[in-house]
Amino acid sequence: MASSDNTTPIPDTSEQLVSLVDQARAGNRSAFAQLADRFHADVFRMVFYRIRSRADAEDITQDVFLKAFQKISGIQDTAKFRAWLFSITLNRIRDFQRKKRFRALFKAENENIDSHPTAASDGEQPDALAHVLRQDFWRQIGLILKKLPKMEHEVFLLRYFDHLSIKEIAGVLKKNESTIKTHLYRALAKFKKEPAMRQLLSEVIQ
Amino acid sequence: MKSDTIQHLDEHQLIQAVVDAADLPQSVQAHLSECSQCLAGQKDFQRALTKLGQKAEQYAPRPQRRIVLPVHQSKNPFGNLLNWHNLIAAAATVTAVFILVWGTHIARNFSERRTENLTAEMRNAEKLMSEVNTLVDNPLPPIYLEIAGEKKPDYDEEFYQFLIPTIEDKTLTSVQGKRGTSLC
Repeated sequence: MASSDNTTPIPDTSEQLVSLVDQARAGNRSAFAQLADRFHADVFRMVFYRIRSRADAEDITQDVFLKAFQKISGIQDTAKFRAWLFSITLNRIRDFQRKKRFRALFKAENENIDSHPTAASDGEQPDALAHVLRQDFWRQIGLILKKLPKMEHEVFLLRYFDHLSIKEIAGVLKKNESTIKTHLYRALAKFKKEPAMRQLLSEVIQ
Repeated sequence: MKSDTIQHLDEHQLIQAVVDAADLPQSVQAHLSECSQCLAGQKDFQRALTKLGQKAEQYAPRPQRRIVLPVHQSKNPFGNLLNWHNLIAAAATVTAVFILVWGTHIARNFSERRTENLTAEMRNAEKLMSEVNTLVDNPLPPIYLEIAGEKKPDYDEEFYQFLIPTIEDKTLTSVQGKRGTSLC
Protein backbone atom coordinates (compact mmCIF):
# COMPACT_ATOMS: atom_id res chain seq x y z
CA MET A 1 0.00 0.00 0.00
CA ALA A 2 1.27 3.39 -0.85
CA SER A 3 1.85 5.25 2.34
CA SER A 4 0.66 8.82 2.50
CA ASP A 5 2.19 9.74 5.84
CA ASN A 6 4.98 12.24 6.17
CA THR A 7 7.69 9.76 6.99
CA THR A 8 8.61 9.27 3.34
CA PRO A 9 9.40 12.54 1.60
CA ILE A 10 7.65 13.06 -1.71
CA PRO A 11 10.22 13.67 -4.44
CA ASP A 12 10.31 17.21 -5.73
CA THR A 13 13.34 17.42 -7.94
CA SER A 14 13.70 15.63 -11.21
CA GLU A 15 16.87 13.91 -9.94
CA GLN A 16 14.96 12.40 -7.05
CA LEU A 17 12.19 11.39 -9.38
CA VAL A 18 14.54 9.71 -11.85
CA SER A 19 16.26 7.94 -8.97
CA LEU A 20 12.94 6.65 -7.66
CA VAL A 21 11.86 5.52 -11.10
CA ASP A 22 15.16 3.67 -11.49
CA GLN A 23 14.66 1.95 -8.13
CA ALA A 24 11.05 1.09 -8.95
CA ARG A 25 12.18 -0.34 -12.27
CA ALA A 26 14.61 -2.57 -10.41
CA GLY A 27 11.68 -3.91 -8.37
CA ASN A 28 11.81 -1.64 -5.33
CA ARG A 29 8.24 -1.58 -4.01
CA SER A 30 8.83 1.25 -1.61
CA ALA A 31 10.14 3.46 -4.42
CA PHE A 32 7.04 2.77 -6.45
CA ALA A 33 4.86 3.54 -3.43
CA GLN A 34 6.56 6.94 -3.18
CA LEU A 35 5.96 7.57 -6.86
CA ALA A 36 2.32 6.65 -6.38
CA ASP A 37 2.08 9.11 -3.51
CA ARG A 38 3.66 11.81 -5.63
CA PHE A 39 1.34 11.36 -8.61
CA HIS A 40 -1.82 10.05 -6.98
CA ALA A 41 -3.64 13.39 -6.85
CA ASP A 42 -2.47 14.40 -10.37
CA VAL A 43 -3.71 11.18 -11.92
CA PHE A 44 -6.96 11.31 -9.98
CA ARG A 45 -7.66 14.88 -11.13
CA MET A 46 -6.73 14.05 -14.68
CA VAL A 47 -9.32 11.26 -14.65
CA PHE A 48 -11.92 13.38 -12.90
CA TYR A 49 -11.61 16.22 -15.45
CA ARG A 50 -12.60 13.78 -18.17
CA ILE A 51 -15.05 11.47 -16.36
CA ARG A 52 -16.58 13.88 -13.78
CA SER A 53 -17.45 11.09 -11.41
CA ARG A 54 -15.57 10.72 -8.19
CA ALA A 55 -16.17 7.00 -7.70
CA ASP A 56 -15.17 6.13 -11.26
CA ALA A 57 -12.12 8.40 -10.99
CA GLU A 58 -11.03 6.55 -7.84
CA ASP A 59 -11.40 3.18 -9.57
CA ILE A 60 -9.57 4.27 -12.70
CA THR A 61 -6.75 5.84 -10.66
CA GLN A 62 -6.24 2.58 -8.79
CA ASP A 63 -6.25 0.74 -12.09
CA VAL A 64 -3.68 3.13 -13.58
CA PHE A 65 -1.21 2.56 -10.74
CA LEU A 66 -1.68 -1.21 -10.88
CA LYS A 67 -0.94 -1.11 -14.59
CA ALA A 68 2.06 1.15 -14.02
CA PHE A 69 3.35 -1.19 -11.29
CA GLN A 70 3.14 -4.15 -13.65
CA LYS A 71 4.77 -2.34 -16.57
CA ILE A 72 7.36 -0.13 -14.92
CA SER A 73 10.20 -2.56 -15.59
CA GLY A 74 9.66 -1.92 -19.31
CA ILE A 75 9.89 1.88 -19.17
CA GLN A 76 12.48 3.11 -21.65
CA ASP A 77 13.27 6.62 -20.50
CA THR A 78 13.02 7.18 -16.75
CA ALA A 79 12.99 10.96 -17.25
CA LYS A 80 9.68 10.62 -19.09
CA PHE A 81 7.94 8.81 -16.24
CA ARG A 82 5.25 11.47 -15.86
CA ALA A 83 4.37 11.42 -19.56
CA TRP A 84 4.39 7.61 -19.48
CA LEU A 85 2.08 7.54 -16.45
CA PHE A 86 -0.29 10.07 -18.02
CA SER A 87 -0.30 8.06 -21.22
CA ILE A 88 -1.46 5.00 -19.25
CA THR A 89 -4.08 7.18 -17.61
CA LEU A 90 -5.45 8.41 -20.93
CA ASN A 91 -5.66 4.84 -22.21
CA ARG A 92 -7.58 3.77 -19.11
CA ILE A 93 -9.95 6.70 -19.53
CA ARG A 94 -10.55 5.78 -23.17
CA ASP A 95 -11.26 2.18 -22.16
CA PHE A 96 -13.71 3.37 -19.54
CA GLN A 97 -15.50 5.71 -21.94
CA ARG A 98 -15.71 2.98 -24.57
CA LYS A 99 -17.25 0.58 -22.06
CA LYS A 100 -19.61 3.29 -20.87
CA ARG A 101 -20.80 3.99 -24.40
CA PHE A 102 -21.30 0.27 -24.96
CA ARG A 103 -23.31 -0.07 -21.75
CA ALA A 104 -25.37 2.98 -22.71
CA LEU A 105 -26.60 1.10 -25.79
CA PHE A 106 -28.48 -1.29 -23.52
CA LYS A 107 -29.90 1.33 -21.22
CA ALA A 108 -33.11 3.18 -21.81
CA GLU A 109 -31.78 6.31 -20.18
CA ASN A 110 -28.51 7.63 -21.51
CA GLU A 111 -26.29 8.72 -18.67
CA ASN A 112 -24.68 12.02 -19.51
CA ILE A 113 -21.57 12.47 -17.46
CA ASP A 114 -21.72 16.24 -17.82
CA SER A 115 -25.14 16.31 -16.21
CA HIS A 116 -23.69 15.06 -12.92
CA PRO A 117 -20.65 17.25 -12.45
CA THR A 118 -21.10 17.61 -8.73
CA ALA A 119 -20.66 13.94 -8.00
CA ALA A 120 -17.22 15.11 -7.02
CA SER A 121 -18.39 16.95 -4.00
CA ASP A 122 -20.48 14.17 -2.49
CA GLY A 123 -17.97 13.20 0.11
CA GLU A 124 -16.96 16.71 1.07
CA GLN A 125 -20.31 18.17 2.14
CA PRO A 126 -19.62 21.72 0.99
CA ASP A 127 -21.84 24.58 1.94
CA ALA A 128 -24.65 25.43 -0.43
CA LEU A 129 -22.96 28.36 -2.18
CA ALA A 130 -19.71 26.51 -2.82
CA HIS A 131 -21.74 23.59 -4.06
CA VAL A 132 -23.64 25.76 -6.54
CA LEU A 133 -20.44 27.50 -7.72
CA ARG A 134 -18.75 24.20 -8.24
CA GLN A 135 -21.72 22.80 -10.09
CA ASP A 136 -21.92 25.87 -12.32
CA PHE A 137 -18.21 25.83 -13.07
CA TRP A 138 -18.21 22.22 -14.23
CA ARG A 139 -21.39 22.73 -16.22
CA GLN A 140 -19.82 25.65 -18.10
CA ILE A 141 -16.56 23.82 -18.69
CA GLY A 142 -18.50 20.81 -19.95
CA LEU A 143 -20.51 22.92 -22.38
CA ILE A 144 -17.46 24.77 -23.71
CA LEU A 145 -15.25 21.72 -24.11
CA LYS A 146 -18.02 19.81 -25.84
CA LYS A 147 -17.81 22.23 -28.75
CA LEU A 148 -14.17 21.33 -29.44
CA PRO A 149 -13.00 18.41 -31.58
CA LYS A 150 -11.59 15.53 -29.56
CA MET A 151 -7.92 16.29 -30.15
CA GLU A 152 -8.18 20.01 -29.41
CA HIS A 153 -10.20 19.22 -26.30
CA GLU A 154 -7.56 16.76 -25.08
CA VAL A 155 -4.60 19.02 -25.83
CA PHE A 156 -6.27 21.93 -24.04
CA LEU A 157 -6.96 19.85 -20.93
CA LEU A 158 -3.44 18.44 -20.85
CA ARG A 159 -1.89 21.90 -21.24
CA TYR A 160 -3.97 24.01 -18.85
CA PHE A 161 -5.69 21.58 -16.50
CA ASP A 162 -3.01 18.91 -16.18
CA HIS A 163 -0.16 21.44 -16.52
CA LEU A 164 1.89 19.46 -19.00
CA SER A 165 4.43 21.11 -21.30
CA ILE A 166 4.06 20.92 -25.07
CA LYS A 167 6.86 18.36 -25.13
CA GLU A 168 5.16 16.20 -22.50
CA ILE A 169 1.83 16.41 -24.32
CA ALA A 170 3.58 15.27 -27.49
CA GLY A 171 4.97 12.32 -25.52
CA VAL A 172 1.61 11.42 -23.99
CA LEU A 173 -0.34 11.63 -27.24
CA LYS A 174 2.52 10.26 -29.34
CA LYS A 175 2.39 13.18 -31.80
CA ASN A 176 5.03 15.67 -32.78
CA GLU A 177 5.24 19.02 -31.04
CA SER A 178 4.13 21.11 -34.00
CA THR A 179 0.92 19.06 -34.27
CA ILE A 180 0.25 19.66 -30.59
CA LYS A 181 0.85 23.39 -31.01
CA THR A 182 -1.53 23.51 -33.96
CA HIS A 183 -4.29 21.79 -31.97
CA LEU A 184 -3.68 24.06 -29.00
CA TYR A 185 -3.73 27.16 -31.21
CA ARG A 186 -7.05 26.10 -32.76
CA ALA A 187 -8.56 25.41 -29.35
CA LEU A 188 -7.49 28.81 -28.00
CA ALA A 189 -8.69 30.61 -31.14
CA LYS A 190 -12.13 29.03 -30.71
CA PHE A 191 -12.18 29.95 -27.04
CA LYS A 192 -11.36 33.55 -27.88
CA LYS A 193 -14.41 33.67 -30.10
CA GLU A 194 -16.64 31.80 -27.68
CA PRO A 195 -18.60 34.25 -25.48
CA ALA A 196 -19.19 31.66 -22.76
CA MET A 197 -15.45 31.01 -22.52
CA ARG A 198 -14.61 34.70 -22.46
CA GLN A 199 -17.09 35.21 -19.69
CA LEU A 200 -15.71 32.25 -17.75
CA LEU A 201 -12.16 33.53 -18.13
CA SER A 202 -13.15 37.01 -16.97
CA GLU A 203 -14.90 35.48 -13.95
CA VAL A 204 -11.85 33.42 -13.15
CA ILE A 205 -9.53 36.44 -13.27
CA GLN A 206 -11.71 38.47 -10.91
CA MET B 1 11.05 49.04 -32.20
CA LYS B 2 8.62 51.53 -30.92
CA SER B 3 5.14 50.33 -30.13
CA ASP B 4 3.56 53.40 -31.78
CA THR B 5 5.42 52.99 -35.09
CA ILE B 6 4.52 49.33 -35.63
CA GLN B 7 1.27 47.48 -35.60
CA HIS B 8 0.50 45.62 -32.42
CA LEU B 9 0.09 41.87 -32.35
CA ASP B 10 -3.14 40.75 -33.88
CA GLU B 11 -5.44 38.09 -32.40
CA HIS B 12 -3.71 35.32 -34.31
CA GLN B 13 -0.24 36.40 -33.15
CA LEU B 14 -1.40 36.86 -29.59
CA ILE B 15 -2.71 33.31 -29.44
CA GLN B 16 0.47 32.12 -31.13
CA ALA B 17 2.45 33.91 -28.42
CA VAL B 18 0.46 32.13 -25.74
CA VAL B 19 0.99 28.73 -27.37
CA ASP B 20 4.70 29.29 -27.95
CA ALA B 21 6.21 32.73 -28.45
CA ALA B 22 9.33 31.18 -29.95
CA ASP B 23 7.32 30.22 -33.04
CA LEU B 24 6.58 33.87 -33.87
CA PRO B 25 8.70 35.66 -36.46
CA GLN B 26 11.74 37.44 -35.06
CA SER B 27 10.29 40.90 -35.66
CA VAL B 28 7.08 40.05 -33.82
CA GLN B 29 9.06 38.52 -30.94
CA ALA B 30 11.10 41.69 -30.72
CA HIS B 31 7.96 43.82 -30.65
CA LEU B 32 6.41 41.60 -27.99
CA SER B 33 9.44 41.96 -25.75
CA GLU B 34 9.28 45.75 -26.01
CA CYS B 35 5.56 46.54 -26.25
CA SER B 36 3.99 46.61 -22.83
CA GLN B 37 0.50 46.59 -24.32
CA CYS B 38 1.03 43.42 -26.37
CA LEU B 39 2.98 41.81 -23.54
CA ALA B 40 0.11 42.58 -21.14
CA GLY B 41 -2.37 41.07 -23.62
CA GLN B 42 -0.32 37.91 -23.84
CA LYS B 43 0.24 37.70 -20.09
CA ASP B 44 -3.43 38.35 -19.32
CA PHE B 45 -4.60 35.58 -21.60
CA GLN B 46 -1.96 33.25 -20.23
CA ARG B 47 -2.85 34.15 -16.64
CA ALA B 48 -6.55 33.61 -17.32
CA LEU B 49 -5.86 30.14 -18.69
CA THR B 50 -3.58 29.32 -15.77
CA LYS B 51 -6.22 30.55 -13.33
CA LEU B 52 -8.81 28.43 -15.10
CA GLY B 53 -6.63 25.38 -14.49
CA GLN B 54 -6.16 26.36 -10.84
CA LYS B 55 -9.89 26.82 -10.46
CA ALA B 56 -10.51 23.39 -11.92
CA GLU B 57 -7.99 21.97 -9.45
CA GLN B 58 -9.74 23.80 -6.62
CA TYR B 59 -13.15 22.53 -7.67
CA ALA B 60 -12.02 18.98 -8.24
CA PRO B 61 -12.40 16.55 -5.34
CA ARG B 62 -9.42 15.04 -3.59
CA PRO B 63 -8.84 11.30 -3.84
CA GLN B 64 -9.96 9.52 -0.71
CA ARG B 65 -8.99 5.95 -1.43
CA ARG B 66 -5.36 5.03 -1.10
CA ILE B 67 -3.50 3.22 -3.83
CA VAL B 68 -3.24 -0.48 -3.09
CA LEU B 69 -0.38 -2.27 -4.76
CA PRO B 70 -0.63 -6.00 -5.49
CA VAL B 71 0.67 -8.40 -2.85
CA HIS B 72 4.33 -9.21 -3.31
CA GLN B 73 4.76 -12.69 -4.80
CA SER B 74 7.67 -14.78 -3.49
CA LYS B 75 10.05 -16.02 -6.16
CA ASN B 76 10.44 -19.33 -4.27
CA PRO B 77 7.42 -21.47 -5.18
CA PHE B 78 7.76 -23.40 -1.90
CA GLY B 79 8.04 -20.23 0.13
CA ASN B 80 4.28 -19.76 -0.12
CA LEU B 81 3.67 -23.09 1.61
CA LEU B 82 4.54 -21.48 4.93
CA ASN B 83 1.93 -18.83 4.42
CA TRP B 84 -0.71 -19.12 7.17
CA HIS B 85 -3.50 -19.28 4.61
CA ASN B 86 -1.89 -22.29 3.01
CA LEU B 87 -1.25 -23.92 6.38
CA ILE B 88 -4.90 -23.56 7.35
CA ALA B 89 -5.99 -24.93 3.99
CA ALA B 90 -3.63 -27.91 4.39
CA ALA B 91 -4.90 -28.63 7.92
CA ALA B 92 -8.50 -28.45 6.72
CA THR B 93 -7.73 -30.85 3.87
CA VAL B 94 -6.03 -33.37 6.20
CA THR B 95 -8.98 -33.17 8.63
CA ALA B 96 -11.47 -33.70 5.81
CA VAL B 97 -9.55 -36.73 4.52
CA PHE B 98 -9.33 -38.18 8.06
CA ILE B 99 -13.07 -37.71 8.61
CA LEU B 100 -13.80 -39.32 5.26
CA VAL B 101 -11.60 -42.38 5.97
CA TRP B 102 -12.92 -42.75 9.51
CA GLY B 103 -16.51 -42.43 8.34
CA THR B 104 -16.02 -45.04 5.63
CA HIS B 105 -14.47 -47.43 8.16
CA ILE B 106 -17.36 -46.98 10.61
CA ALA B 107 -19.94 -47.45 7.88
CA ARG B 108 -18.24 -50.63 6.71
CA ASN B 109 -18.08 -52.05 10.28
CA PHE B 110 -21.72 -51.27 10.83
CA SER B 111 -22.80 -53.06 7.67
CA GLU B 112 -20.63 -56.12 8.50
CA ARG B 113 -22.11 -56.33 12.00
CA ARG B 114 -25.57 -56.12 10.55
CA THR B 115 -24.84 -58.95 8.12
CA GLU B 116 -23.51 -61.12 10.96
CA ASN B 117 -26.67 -60.46 13.00
CA LEU B 118 -28.85 -61.40 10.09
CA THR B 119 -26.91 -64.62 9.51
CA ALA B 120 -27.24 -65.57 13.19
CA GLU B 121 -30.97 -64.85 13.11
CA MET B 122 -31.37 -66.99 10.01
CA ARG B 123 -29.43 -69.82 11.65
CA ASN B 124 -31.71 -69.67 14.72
CA ALA B 125 -34.78 -69.57 12.51
CA GLU B 126 -33.62 -72.68 10.59
CA LYS B 127 -32.94 -74.52 13.86
CA LEU B 128 -36.39 -73.60 15.15
CA MET B 129 -38.04 -74.74 11.92
CA SER B 130 -36.26 -78.10 12.04
CA GLU B 131 -37.51 -78.61 15.60
CA VAL B 132 -41.03 -77.70 14.53
CA ASN B 133 -40.83 -80.15 11.63
CA THR B 134 -39.62 -82.92 13.94
CA LEU B 135 -42.56 -82.26 16.24
CA VAL B 136 -44.97 -82.30 13.32
CA ASP B 137 -43.68 -85.72 12.23
CA ASN B 138 -43.54 -87.21 15.73
CA PRO B 139 -45.49 -85.31 18.32
CA LEU B 140 -44.57 -87.79 21.06
CA PRO B 141 -41.28 -87.37 22.87
CA PRO B 142 -38.68 -89.99 21.91
CA ILE B 143 -39.05 -91.84 25.27
CA TYR B 144 -42.70 -92.59 24.61
CA LEU B 145 -41.91 -93.77 21.14
CA GLU B 146 -39.42 -96.24 22.61
CA ILE B 147 -42.02 -97.53 25.06
CA ALA B 148 -44.47 -97.90 22.22
CA GLY B 149 -41.84 -99.75 20.20
CA GLU B 150 -42.33 -97.24 17.41
CA LYS B 151 -39.25 -95.21 17.70
CA LYS B 152 -38.85 -95.35 14.02
CA PRO B 153 -42.18 -96.38 12.55
CA ASP B 154 -41.68 -97.15 8.95
CA TYR B 155 -45.04 -97.58 7.34
CA ASP B 156 -45.06 -98.04 3.62
CA GLU B 157 -47.41 -96.57 1.09
CA GLU B 158 -49.18 -99.88 0.56
CA PHE B 159 -50.17 -100.02 4.22
CA TYR B 160 -51.65 -96.54 4.09
CA GLN B 161 -53.46 -97.41 0.89
CA PHE B 162 -54.92 -100.37 2.63
CA LEU B 163 -56.09 -98.30 5.54
CA ILE B 164 -57.42 -95.37 3.59
CA PRO B 165 -58.13 -96.21 -0.01
CA THR B 166 -58.33 -93.38 -2.53
CA ILE B 167 -61.67 -92.28 -4.04
CA GLU B 168 -60.79 -93.52 -7.56
CA ASP B 169 -60.05 -96.91 -6.22
CA LYS B 170 -63.35 -96.91 -4.36
CA THR B 171 -65.28 -95.93 -7.50
CA LEU B 172 -63.45 -98.47 -9.56
CA THR B 173 -64.08 -101.21 -7.04
CA SER B 174 -67.81 -100.44 -6.92
CA VAL B 175 -68.06 -100.40 -10.72
CA GLN B 176 -66.12 -103.57 -11.04
CA GLY B 177 -68.24 -104.99 -8.24
CA LYS B 178 -71.36 -103.99 -10.10
CA ARG B 179 -70.00 -105.45 -13.30
CA GLY B 180 -68.91 -108.53 -11.43
CA THR B 181 -72.31 -108.83 -10.00
CA SER B 182 -73.93 -108.47 -13.32
CA LEU B 183 -71.53 -110.92 -14.87
CA CYS B 184 -72.06 -113.36 -12.10
